[in-house]
Amino acid sequence: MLMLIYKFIGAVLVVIGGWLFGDTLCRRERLRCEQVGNTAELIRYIRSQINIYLSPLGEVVLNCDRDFVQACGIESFDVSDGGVRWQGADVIDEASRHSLSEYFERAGRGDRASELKLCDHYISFFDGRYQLLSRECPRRCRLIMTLCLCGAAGVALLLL
Amino acid sequence: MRTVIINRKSERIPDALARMLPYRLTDEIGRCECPMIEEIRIRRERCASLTCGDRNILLNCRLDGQEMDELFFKLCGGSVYAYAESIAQGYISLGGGIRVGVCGRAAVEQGRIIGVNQVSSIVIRLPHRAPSGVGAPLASLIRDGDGRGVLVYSRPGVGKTTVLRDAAAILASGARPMRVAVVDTRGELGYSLDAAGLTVDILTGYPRKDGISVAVRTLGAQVIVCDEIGDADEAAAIVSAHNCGVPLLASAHAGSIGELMSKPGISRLHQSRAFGKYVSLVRRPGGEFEYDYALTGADDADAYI
Repeated sequence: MLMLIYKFIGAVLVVIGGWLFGDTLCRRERLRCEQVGNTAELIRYIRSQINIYLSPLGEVVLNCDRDFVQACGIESFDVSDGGVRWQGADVIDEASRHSLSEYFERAGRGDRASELKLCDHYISFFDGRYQLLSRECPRRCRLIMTLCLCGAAGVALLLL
Repeated sequence: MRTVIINRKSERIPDALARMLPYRLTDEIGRCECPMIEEIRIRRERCASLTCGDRNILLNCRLDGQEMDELFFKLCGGSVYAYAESIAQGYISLGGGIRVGVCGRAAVEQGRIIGVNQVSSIVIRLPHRAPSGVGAPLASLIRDGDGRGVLVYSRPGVGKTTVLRDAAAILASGARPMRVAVVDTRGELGYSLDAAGLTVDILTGYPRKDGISVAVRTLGAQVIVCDEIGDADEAAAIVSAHNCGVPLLASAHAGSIGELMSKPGISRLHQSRAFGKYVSLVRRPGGEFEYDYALTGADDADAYI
Protein backbone atom coordinates (compact mmCIF):
# COMPACT_ATOMS: atom_id res chain seq x y z
CA MET A 1 0.00 0.00 0.00
CA LEU A 2 2.80 2.40 1.00
CA MET A 3 4.63 1.50 -2.20
CA LEU A 4 1.54 2.38 -4.23
CA ILE A 5 1.29 5.78 -2.50
CA TYR A 6 4.96 6.43 -3.29
CA LYS A 7 4.40 5.45 -6.90
CA PHE A 8 1.37 7.71 -7.09
CA ILE A 9 3.29 10.68 -5.60
CA GLY A 10 6.15 9.97 -8.04
CA ALA A 11 3.74 9.89 -10.97
CA VAL A 12 2.17 13.20 -9.86
CA LEU A 13 5.66 14.74 -9.57
CA VAL A 14 6.57 13.56 -13.08
CA VAL A 15 3.38 15.10 -14.47
CA ILE A 16 4.06 18.39 -12.60
CA GLY A 17 7.66 18.29 -13.89
CA GLY A 18 6.37 17.81 -17.44
CA TRP A 19 3.98 20.69 -17.02
CA LEU A 20 6.73 22.97 -15.65
CA PHE A 21 9.06 21.97 -18.48
CA GLY A 22 6.34 22.72 -21.03
CA ASP A 23 5.62 26.03 -19.37
CA THR A 24 9.30 27.00 -19.54
CA LEU A 25 9.41 26.14 -23.22
CA CYS A 26 6.22 28.15 -23.82
CA ARG A 27 7.66 31.18 -22.03
CA ARG A 28 10.75 30.89 -24.16
CA GLU A 29 8.55 30.78 -27.23
CA ARG A 30 6.65 33.91 -26.14
CA LEU A 31 9.91 35.69 -25.31
CA ARG A 32 11.25 34.85 -28.76
CA CYS A 33 8.15 36.36 -30.31
CA GLU A 34 8.43 39.52 -28.17
CA GLN A 35 12.10 39.89 -29.06
CA VAL A 36 11.29 39.92 -32.75
CA GLY A 37 8.65 42.62 -32.15
CA ASN A 38 11.12 44.65 -30.09
CA THR A 39 13.79 44.29 -32.78
CA ALA A 40 11.40 45.89 -35.26
CA GLU A 41 10.97 48.73 -32.75
CA LEU A 42 14.75 49.05 -32.39
CA ILE A 43 15.23 49.46 -36.13
CA ARG A 44 12.31 51.90 -36.18
CA TYR A 45 14.15 53.93 -33.52
CA ILE A 46 17.41 53.80 -35.49
CA ARG A 47 15.51 54.96 -38.56
CA SER A 48 14.06 57.96 -36.74
CA GLN A 49 17.49 58.95 -35.38
CA ILE A 50 18.95 58.79 -38.89
CA ASN A 51 16.02 60.60 -40.42
CA ILE A 52 15.90 63.45 -37.91
CA TYR A 53 19.45 63.87 -36.62
CA LEU A 54 21.60 61.93 -39.11
CA SER A 55 23.16 60.36 -36.03
CA PRO A 56 25.93 57.82 -36.67
CA LEU A 57 24.74 54.26 -36.21
CA GLY A 58 27.28 53.43 -33.50
CA GLU A 59 26.17 56.43 -31.47
CA VAL A 60 22.50 55.48 -31.82
CA VAL A 61 22.91 51.89 -30.67
CA LEU A 62 25.18 52.82 -27.78
CA ASN A 63 22.73 55.46 -26.57
CA CYS A 64 19.77 53.07 -26.67
CA ASP A 65 18.16 52.19 -23.37
CA ARG A 66 19.94 49.06 -22.08
CA ASP A 67 16.75 47.35 -20.91
CA PHE A 68 15.16 47.89 -24.29
CA VAL A 69 18.21 46.49 -26.07
CA GLN A 70 18.10 43.42 -23.85
CA ALA A 71 14.41 43.05 -24.56
CA CYS A 72 15.44 42.62 -28.20
CA GLY A 73 17.63 39.67 -27.23
CA ILE A 74 20.80 41.69 -27.66
CA GLU A 75 23.33 41.56 -24.85
CA SER A 76 25.83 44.13 -26.08
CA PHE A 77 27.01 46.16 -29.05
CA ASP A 78 30.59 46.56 -30.17
CA VAL A 79 31.33 49.60 -32.33
CA SER A 80 35.10 49.73 -31.87
CA ASP A 81 35.93 48.66 -35.40
CA GLY A 82 33.84 51.10 -37.41
CA GLY A 83 30.82 48.88 -38.00
CA VAL A 84 28.33 47.61 -35.45
CA ARG A 85 28.65 44.09 -34.05
CA TRP A 86 26.20 42.60 -31.59
CA GLN A 87 26.10 39.72 -29.20
CA GLY A 88 22.80 38.13 -28.46
CA ALA A 89 21.13 35.69 -26.16
CA ASP A 90 20.44 32.19 -27.53
CA VAL A 91 16.69 32.77 -27.23
CA ILE A 92 16.44 34.99 -30.29
CA ASP A 93 14.81 33.42 -33.31
CA GLU A 94 17.35 32.03 -35.81
CA ALA A 95 15.94 33.79 -38.88
CA SER A 96 15.80 37.07 -36.95
CA ARG A 97 19.35 36.58 -35.69
CA HIS A 98 20.55 36.15 -39.26
CA SER A 99 18.59 39.16 -40.51
CA LEU A 100 19.75 41.40 -37.69
CA SER A 101 23.40 40.54 -38.40
CA GLU A 102 22.77 41.17 -42.07
CA TYR A 103 21.19 44.55 -41.28
CA PHE A 104 24.15 45.73 -39.18
CA GLU A 105 26.55 44.48 -41.85
CA ARG A 106 24.80 46.45 -44.59
CA ALA A 107 23.94 49.55 -42.57
CA GLY A 108 25.98 52.73 -42.60
CA ARG A 109 27.44 52.37 -46.08
CA GLY A 110 24.96 54.42 -48.07
CA ASP A 111 23.48 57.90 -48.06
CA ARG A 112 20.52 58.92 -45.93
CA ALA A 113 17.85 57.84 -48.42
CA SER A 114 19.33 54.39 -48.90
CA GLU A 115 19.78 53.97 -45.13
CA LEU A 116 16.12 54.80 -44.58
CA LYS A 117 15.13 52.31 -47.27
CA LEU A 118 17.32 49.68 -45.67
CA CYS A 119 15.65 50.35 -42.31
CA ASP A 120 12.20 50.13 -43.91
CA HIS A 121 13.11 46.81 -45.51
CA TYR A 122 14.19 45.28 -42.21
CA ILE A 123 11.32 46.86 -40.26
CA SER A 124 8.85 45.22 -42.61
CA PHE A 125 10.76 41.91 -42.34
CA PHE A 126 10.69 41.96 -38.54
CA ASP A 127 7.07 43.14 -38.44
CA GLY A 128 6.10 40.29 -40.76
CA ARG A 129 8.10 37.82 -38.73
CA TYR A 130 6.50 39.10 -35.53
CA GLN A 131 3.01 38.70 -36.95
CA LEU A 132 3.83 35.19 -38.11
CA LEU A 133 5.30 34.20 -34.76
CA SER A 134 2.41 35.85 -32.88
CA ARG A 135 -0.05 33.78 -34.91
CA GLU A 136 1.95 30.62 -34.45
CA CYS A 137 2.85 31.15 -30.82
CA PRO A 138 -0.44 30.00 -29.18
CA ARG A 139 -0.56 26.90 -31.40
CA ARG A 140 3.07 26.08 -30.72
CA CYS A 141 2.52 26.59 -27.00
CA ARG A 142 -0.46 24.26 -27.05
CA LEU A 143 1.56 21.68 -28.95
CA ILE A 144 4.50 21.99 -26.56
CA MET A 145 2.24 21.66 -23.51
CA THR A 146 0.42 18.70 -25.01
CA LEU A 147 3.64 16.92 -25.86
CA CYS A 148 5.19 17.61 -22.46
CA LEU A 149 2.10 16.59 -20.53
CA CYS A 150 1.52 13.50 -22.65
CA GLY A 151 5.17 12.54 -22.31
CA ALA A 152 5.05 13.06 -18.57
CA ALA A 153 1.77 11.17 -18.29
CA GLY A 154 3.26 8.26 -20.26
CA VAL A 155 6.27 8.13 -17.97
CA ALA A 156 3.94 8.39 -14.95
CA LEU A 157 1.87 5.47 -16.23
CA LEU A 158 4.99 3.39 -16.66
CA LEU A 159 5.95 4.22 -13.09
CA LEU A 160 2.64 3.07 -11.71
CA MET B 1 51.42 27.94 -31.74
CA ARG B 2 52.82 31.41 -31.33
CA THR B 3 50.89 34.33 -29.88
CA VAL B 4 51.71 37.64 -31.49
CA ILE B 5 50.72 40.74 -29.59
CA ILE B 6 50.36 43.71 -31.83
CA ASN B 7 50.77 46.97 -30.00
CA ARG B 8 48.89 49.57 -32.00
CA LYS B 9 49.74 52.42 -29.69
CA SER B 10 51.72 55.04 -31.48
CA GLU B 11 53.02 58.24 -30.00
CA ARG B 12 52.99 59.91 -33.38
CA ILE B 13 49.34 59.51 -34.21
CA PRO B 14 46.32 59.63 -31.91
CA ASP B 15 45.17 56.24 -30.60
CA ALA B 16 41.68 56.54 -32.05
CA LEU B 17 43.16 57.09 -35.50
CA ALA B 18 45.79 54.35 -35.13
CA ARG B 19 43.00 51.84 -34.48
CA MET B 20 41.38 52.68 -37.81
CA LEU B 21 44.49 52.50 -39.99
CA PRO B 22 45.75 49.17 -41.36
CA TYR B 23 48.54 47.60 -39.29
CA ARG B 24 51.15 47.76 -42.02
CA LEU B 25 50.55 51.48 -42.50
CA THR B 26 50.89 52.28 -38.79
CA ASP B 27 54.03 50.13 -38.72
CA GLU B 28 55.48 52.06 -41.64
CA ILE B 29 54.61 55.36 -39.99
CA GLY B 30 56.23 54.15 -36.78
CA ARG B 31 59.45 53.38 -38.61
CA CYS B 32 59.59 56.69 -40.42
CA GLU B 33 62.01 59.33 -39.20
CA CYS B 34 59.87 62.41 -38.99
CA PRO B 35 59.81 64.58 -35.88
CA MET B 36 56.26 65.89 -36.33
CA ILE B 37 53.80 64.33 -38.76
CA GLU B 38 51.41 66.93 -40.17
CA GLU B 39 49.56 64.84 -42.70
CA ILE B 40 49.14 61.20 -43.65
CA ARG B 41 48.30 60.85 -47.32
CA ILE B 42 46.81 57.56 -48.46
CA ARG B 43 46.09 56.88 -52.12
CA ARG B 44 44.28 53.97 -53.74
CA GLU B 45 46.80 51.55 -55.28
CA ARG B 46 49.62 54.06 -54.74
CA CYS B 47 52.20 54.56 -52.06
CA ALA B 48 51.07 56.43 -48.97
CA SER B 49 53.12 59.42 -47.87
CA LEU B 50 53.66 61.69 -44.90
CA THR B 51 53.92 65.45 -44.81
CA CYS B 52 56.54 66.62 -42.35
CA GLY B 53 57.07 70.36 -42.57
CA ASP B 54 57.92 71.03 -46.19
CA ARG B 55 58.98 67.42 -46.87
CA ASN B 56 56.88 64.68 -48.46
CA ILE B 57 58.07 61.28 -47.31
CA LEU B 58 56.99 58.28 -49.35
CA LEU B 59 56.04 55.14 -47.40
CA ASN B 60 56.45 51.59 -48.60
CA CYS B 61 52.76 50.85 -48.19
CA ARG B 62 50.00 50.68 -50.79
CA LEU B 63 46.34 50.17 -50.00
CA ASP B 64 44.14 48.41 -52.53
CA GLY B 65 40.56 49.39 -53.36
CA GLN B 66 38.98 47.18 -50.73
CA GLU B 67 41.28 48.45 -47.99
CA MET B 68 40.59 52.04 -49.03
CA ASP B 69 36.82 51.48 -48.93
CA GLU B 70 37.12 49.83 -45.52
CA LEU B 71 39.29 52.66 -44.19
CA PHE B 72 36.84 55.24 -45.52
CA PHE B 73 33.97 53.39 -43.82
CA LYS B 74 35.87 53.32 -40.53
CA LEU B 75 36.76 57.01 -40.77
CA CYS B 76 33.05 57.71 -41.18
CA GLY B 77 32.48 55.85 -37.91
CA GLY B 78 30.55 53.17 -39.78
CA SER B 79 27.94 55.71 -40.92
CA VAL B 80 28.72 57.29 -44.26
CA TYR B 81 25.31 59.01 -44.40
CA ALA B 82 26.15 61.03 -41.28
CA TYR B 83 29.00 62.71 -43.16
CA ALA B 84 27.41 62.91 -46.62
CA GLU B 85 27.21 66.71 -46.60
CA SER B 86 30.83 67.22 -45.57
CA ILE B 87 32.07 64.41 -47.85
CA ALA B 88 30.49 66.28 -50.74
CA GLN B 89 32.56 69.27 -49.64
CA GLY B 90 35.65 67.08 -49.53
CA TYR B 91 36.25 66.35 -45.88
CA ILE B 92 35.30 64.38 -42.78
CA SER B 93 35.80 65.78 -39.29
CA LEU B 94 36.99 63.25 -36.76
CA GLY B 95 37.08 63.99 -33.07
CA GLY B 96 40.14 65.63 -31.54
CA GLY B 97 40.60 68.21 -34.27
CA ILE B 98 41.54 65.68 -36.95
CA ARG B 99 40.36 66.64 -40.42
CA VAL B 100 40.30 64.10 -43.20
CA GLY B 101 40.33 65.32 -46.80
CA VAL B 102 38.58 62.95 -49.19
CA CYS B 103 38.40 62.74 -52.95
CA GLY B 104 37.18 60.15 -55.42
CA ARG B 105 34.52 59.90 -58.10
CA ALA B 106 31.94 62.63 -57.62
CA ALA B 107 28.23 62.12 -58.21
CA VAL B 108 26.93 65.44 -59.52
CA GLU B 109 23.32 66.55 -59.80
CA GLN B 110 22.42 69.94 -61.27
CA GLY B 111 26.00 71.10 -60.89
CA ARG B 112 26.16 70.19 -57.22
CA ILE B 113 28.17 67.32 -55.75
CA ILE B 114 25.73 65.02 -53.98
CA GLY B 115 28.13 62.22 -53.12
CA VAL B 116 31.59 60.79 -53.58
CA ASN B 117 32.32 57.13 -54.20
CA GLN B 118 35.39 55.06 -55.09
CA VAL B 119 37.47 57.16 -52.75
CA SER B 120 40.91 57.52 -54.32
CA SER B 121 42.73 59.71 -51.81
CA ILE B 122 42.46 60.24 -48.09
CA VAL B 123 44.47 63.01 -46.48
CA ILE B 124 44.52 62.89 -42.70
CA ARG B 125 45.61 66.15 -41.19
CA LEU B 126 46.82 65.82 -37.62
CA PRO B 127 46.39 68.69 -35.19
CA HIS B 128 49.23 69.77 -32.95
CA ARG B 129 49.17 71.70 -29.74
CA ALA B 130 51.31 74.71 -30.48
CA PRO B 131 53.32 76.26 -27.66
CA SER B 132 51.39 79.15 -26.17
CA GLY B 133 52.35 82.47 -27.67
CA VAL B 134 52.42 81.78 -31.41
CA GLY B 135 49.15 83.67 -31.79
CA ALA B 136 50.12 86.55 -29.52
CA PRO B 137 50.85 89.02 -32.35
CA LEU B 138 47.36 88.44 -33.79
CA ALA B 139 45.72 88.69 -30.37
CA SER B 140 47.37 92.04 -29.74
CA LEU B 141 46.28 93.32 -33.16
CA ILE B 142 42.68 92.58 -32.17
CA ARG B 143 42.95 93.90 -28.59
CA ASP B 144 44.72 97.09 -29.54
CA GLY B 145 43.00 97.51 -32.89
CA ASP B 146 40.35 99.94 -34.06
CA GLY B 147 37.48 97.44 -33.87
CA ARG B 148 38.07 96.09 -37.32
CA GLY B 149 39.05 92.53 -38.02
CA VAL B 150 42.33 90.85 -38.88
CA LEU B 151 42.75 88.47 -41.78
CA VAL B 152 45.64 86.00 -41.78
CA TYR B 153 46.67 84.53 -45.10
CA SER B 154 49.20 82.00 -46.30
CA ARG B 155 49.52 79.01 -48.55
CA PRO B 156 47.84 75.80 -47.34
CA GLY B 157 49.61 73.84 -44.63
CA VAL B 158 51.64 76.69 -43.14
CA GLY B 159 49.81 76.80 -39.82
CA LYS B 160 47.02 79.37 -40.02
CA THR B 161 44.65 77.23 -37.97
CA THR B 162 47.28 76.62 -35.29
CA VAL B 163 47.99 80.33 -34.99
CA LEU B 164 44.28 81.29 -34.96
CA ARG B 165 43.61 78.68 -32.28
CA ASP B 166 46.33 80.10 -30.06
CA ALA B 167 45.22 83.67 -30.69
CA ALA B 168 41.66 82.68 -29.67
CA ALA B 169 43.01 81.12 -26.46
CA ILE B 170 45.03 84.25 -25.65
CA LEU B 171 42.07 86.56 -26.30
CA ALA B 172 39.79 84.42 -24.13
CA SER B 173 42.15 84.32 -21.17
CA GLY B 174 44.42 86.58 -19.15
CA ALA B 175 43.54 89.56 -16.99
CA ARG B 176 40.96 90.96 -19.44
CA PRO B 177 39.44 87.97 -21.19
CA MET B 178 37.19 88.71 -24.14
CA ARG B 179 34.09 86.77 -25.17
CA VAL B 180 35.41 84.81 -28.12
CA ALA B 181 33.14 82.87 -30.46
CA VAL B 182 34.94 80.25 -32.54
CA VAL B 183 33.06 79.20 -35.65
CA ASP B 184 34.52 75.75 -36.18
CA THR B 185 32.98 74.58 -39.43
CA ARG B 186 35.34 71.66 -39.99
CA GLY B 187 35.93 70.54 -36.42
CA GLU B 188 39.57 71.67 -36.41
CA LEU B 189 39.68 75.12 -34.90
CA GLY B 190 38.08 74.23 -31.57
CA TYR B 191 40.65 71.51 -30.84
CA SER B 192 42.66 72.21 -27.67
CA LEU B 193 40.45 75.15 -26.69
CA ASP B 194 39.35 73.00 -23.79
CA ALA B 195 40.89 74.80 -20.81
CA ALA B 196 38.27 75.53 -18.14
CA GLY B 197 39.29 79.16 -17.79
CA LEU B 198 38.69 80.21 -21.40
CA THR B 199 35.76 82.53 -22.16
CA VAL B 200 35.20 80.88 -25.47
CA ASP B 201 32.06 79.64 -27.22
CA ILE B 202 32.66 77.02 -29.88
CA LEU B 203 30.15 76.60 -32.69
CA THR B 204 31.08 73.20 -34.08
CA GLY B 205 29.90 72.18 -37.52
CA TYR B 206 28.04 75.42 -38.25
CA PRO B 207 28.42 76.75 -41.78
CA ARG B 208 30.51 79.92 -41.40
CA LYS B 209 27.71 82.19 -42.55
CA ASP B 210 25.23 80.84 -40.00
CA GLY B 211 27.86 80.52 -37.27
CA ILE B 212 28.87 84.16 -37.57
CA SER B 213 25.25 85.21 -37.53
CA VAL B 214 24.55 83.17 -34.35
CA ALA B 215 27.73 84.44 -32.69
CA VAL B 216 26.67 88.05 -33.27
CA ARG B 217 22.94 87.77 -32.58
CA THR B 218 22.69 85.34 -29.72
CA LEU B 219 26.11 84.86 -28.15
CA GLY B 220 27.07 88.52 -27.87
CA ALA B 221 30.63 87.76 -28.92
CA GLN B 222 33.33 90.41 -28.67
CA VAL B 223 35.52 88.64 -31.21
CA ILE B 224 34.63 86.01 -33.78
CA VAL B 225 37.31 83.58 -34.94
CA CYS B 226 36.85 81.49 -38.05
CA ASP B 227 38.95 79.62 -40.53
CA GLU B 228 39.29 79.68 -44.31
CA ILE B 229 36.89 82.36 -45.43
CA GLY B 230 36.62 83.53 -49.01
CA ASP B 231 33.14 82.67 -50.28
CA ALA B 232 31.06 85.49 -51.66
CA ASP B 233 28.14 84.13 -49.61
CA GLU B 234 30.09 84.37 -46.38
CA ALA B 235 31.17 87.90 -47.23
CA ALA B 236 27.63 89.19 -46.65
CA ALA B 237 27.49 87.62 -43.16
CA ILE B 238 30.90 88.97 -42.27
CA VAL B 239 29.98 92.47 -43.42
CA SER B 240 26.85 92.19 -41.28
CA ALA B 241 28.97 91.14 -38.25
CA HIS B 242 31.34 93.98 -38.92
CA ASN B 243 28.43 96.39 -39.01
CA CYS B 244 27.51 95.19 -35.51
CA GLY B 245 30.95 96.19 -34.23
CA VAL B 246 32.27 92.66 -33.76
CA PRO B 247 35.78 92.21 -35.15
CA LEU B 248 36.60 89.02 -36.97
CA LEU B 249 39.85 87.12 -36.74
CA ALA B 250 39.91 84.93 -39.80
CA SER B 251 42.18 83.14 -42.21
CA ALA B 252 42.24 82.63 -45.96
CA HIS B 253 44.36 80.76 -48.47
CA ALA B 254 46.59 83.03 -50.56
CA GLY B 255 50.24 83.22 -51.42
CA SER B 256 50.41 87.00 -51.49
CA ILE B 257 48.31 90.07 -50.76
CA GLY B 258 47.68 90.42 -54.50
CA GLU B 259 46.26 86.89 -54.70
CA LEU B 260 44.19 87.55 -51.60
CA MET B 261 42.62 90.70 -53.02
CA SER B 262 41.83 88.96 -56.29
CA LYS B 263 39.29 86.73 -54.51
CA PRO B 264 35.81 88.20 -55.05
CA GLY B 265 34.62 87.50 -51.49
CA ILE B 266 37.74 88.98 -49.88
CA SER B 267 37.68 91.95 -52.24
CA ARG B 268 34.10 92.68 -51.16
CA LEU B 269 35.08 92.44 -47.51
CA HIS B 270 38.02 94.72 -48.11
CA GLN B 271 35.83 97.33 -49.74
CA SER B 272 33.52 97.28 -46.73
CA ARG B 273 36.58 97.73 -44.51
CA ALA B 274 35.72 94.65 -42.44
CA PHE B 275 39.41 94.02 -41.95
CA GLY B 276 41.85 96.63 -40.71
CA LYS B 277 44.95 94.49 -41.10
CA TYR B 278 46.08 91.69 -43.38
CA VAL B 279 48.75 89.44 -41.95
CA SER B 280 50.89 87.20 -44.09
CA LEU B 281 52.08 84.09 -42.29
CA VAL B 282 55.34 82.41 -43.25
CA ARG B 283 56.85 79.52 -41.39
CA ARG B 284 60.54 79.90 -40.60
CA PRO B 285 62.64 77.20 -42.31
CA GLY B 286 63.26 74.28 -39.96
CA GLY B 287 61.08 75.74 -37.22
CA GLU B 288 58.05 73.75 -36.09
CA PHE B 289 56.01 76.57 -34.58
CA GLU B 290 58.03 79.62 -35.55
CA TYR B 291 56.44 82.11 -37.86
CA ASP B 292 57.21 85.43 -39.52
CA TYR B 293 54.33 87.88 -39.75
CA ALA B 294 54.12 90.57 -42.43
CA LEU B 295 51.49 93.25 -41.92
CA THR B 296 49.57 95.14 -44.60
CA GLY B 297 47.16 97.88 -43.59
CA ALA B 298 43.74 98.13 -45.23
CA ASP B 299 44.72 101.39 -46.99
CA ASP B 300 47.91 99.86 -48.36
CA ALA B 301 45.94 96.87 -49.64
CA ASP B 302 43.87 99.22 -51.84
CA ALA B 303 46.71 99.19 -54.31
CA TYR B 304 46.04 95.48 -55.08
CA ILE B 305 42.36 95.88 -55.91
